[in-house]
Amino acid sequence: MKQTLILGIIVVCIACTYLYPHTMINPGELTAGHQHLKNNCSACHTPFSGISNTKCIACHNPANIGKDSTGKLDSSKQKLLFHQGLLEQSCSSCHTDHKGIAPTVSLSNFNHQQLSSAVFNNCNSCHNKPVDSLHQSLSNSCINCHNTQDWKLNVVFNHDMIQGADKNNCAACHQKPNDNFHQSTTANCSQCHSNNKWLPSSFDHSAYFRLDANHQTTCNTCHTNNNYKVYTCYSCHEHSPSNTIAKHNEEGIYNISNCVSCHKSGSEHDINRNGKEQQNMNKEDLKKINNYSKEEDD
Amino acid sequence: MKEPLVFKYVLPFIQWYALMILFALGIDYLLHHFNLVFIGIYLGYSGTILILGSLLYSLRKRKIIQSGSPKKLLQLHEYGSWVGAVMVLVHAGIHFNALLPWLAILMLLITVASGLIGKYLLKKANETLKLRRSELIQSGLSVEETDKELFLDSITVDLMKKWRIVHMPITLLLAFLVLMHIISVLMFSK
Repeated sequence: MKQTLILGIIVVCIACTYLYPHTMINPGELTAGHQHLKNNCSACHTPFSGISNTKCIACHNPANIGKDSTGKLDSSKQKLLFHQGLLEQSCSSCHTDHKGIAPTVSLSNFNHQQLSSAVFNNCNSCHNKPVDSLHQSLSNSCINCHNTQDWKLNVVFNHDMIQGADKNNCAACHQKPNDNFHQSTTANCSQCHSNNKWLPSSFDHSAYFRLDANHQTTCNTCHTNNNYKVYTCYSCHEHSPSNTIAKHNEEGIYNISNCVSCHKSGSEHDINRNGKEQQNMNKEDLKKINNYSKEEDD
Repeated sequence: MKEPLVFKYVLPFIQWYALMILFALGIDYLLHHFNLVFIGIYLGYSGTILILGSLLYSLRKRKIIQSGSPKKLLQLHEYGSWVGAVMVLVHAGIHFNALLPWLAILMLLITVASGLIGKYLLKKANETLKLRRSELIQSGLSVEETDKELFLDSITVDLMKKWRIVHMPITLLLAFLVLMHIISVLMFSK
């Protein structure tokens, strides 16, 4: 009894699979155009041999793809004419099915290398140019920034493609960083930044103050409130105002409002004797500074 | 009042079974999250091989093969089948297309359930029932009173005993449906 039941179930399964393959083994719904083939697997598939190109072309002749039933060019499908010039006509290498009645994508692995060079080099023959102001101002050489694998993957923007007045107008595309330094500067971005990368910039802090090992800190330690036009040396415990004033007063230096005019780094040996403040010093003060530096050197 | 067998053995069994499904759902979610869905195909292969390997125990039990420790082969059968079932469940995913693979999954779930009942629960439950029966008789209860006391436990064990009726035929149907699935994939995969 048990064996008969099992045998019966097996026979029913085989019969159902043979009669209703769409219900039994179909891995996904066919597209609307192929619905009439849903119980006729062999219309496309050759068992154990894949999908024969001949079977596809029997209905979809590449020479007629993009044309209507009378052979006239269908303007809405003009882009499909590239099928005529494909180097290798292997339908299933690009197209797939069983992805739903109205799949958003019926392509599996579209390979741009199969296109003829005329179509390959003219992206706009298939793809619409993005309507944003950036793309509209650029040339049609998409390949300068994009690749054929993915529109957004590994995009390397080539600034040389920018034409006209915008070529040196970074702000036409980029926003200024929202800090006082960048907001207040009128200099062209290219003075510090390159076209390839925003960071690192070529801005040389050492031209103003060399950041030695003792001064590796965040910008706002010295430039408080994001204002890079002013600085203070009194934000750390090392330089308290009272100690600094006392130390300089011993040397007869009283105007110490602009530290970096004399101190170009954190080293006490690195004192700029031609600093602006020296103009206000008398000879005796200058002698004291020099002596002080020499003592430290010894 | 001692804990009924339903709570002592059936609930842990349900937890073990639910764990299998949760594992499968978790792995399936991770594969989708990290865009590694293609691994699901290979989990189908490896899960099937693992389940087939675990059937060495059945061959040893029926003396078709002579070598191998039955105890270790039984462990391989229990754990290998469970892990293999998780892999196959991930392979199936939550897609509702063809009926044949879904029948195979249904058979797999029933086979695992019947296997868990048979080897994980029945032996222990039977032993516990016998022990309780002898304890009750020794304490002075008559056979009728003992049967009345152990009524729910007896029903539970009787239901579990039906696993033998289900396990082998369902396993055979599972093997058949898997074979049909593999053949149909080989026939029409390209």
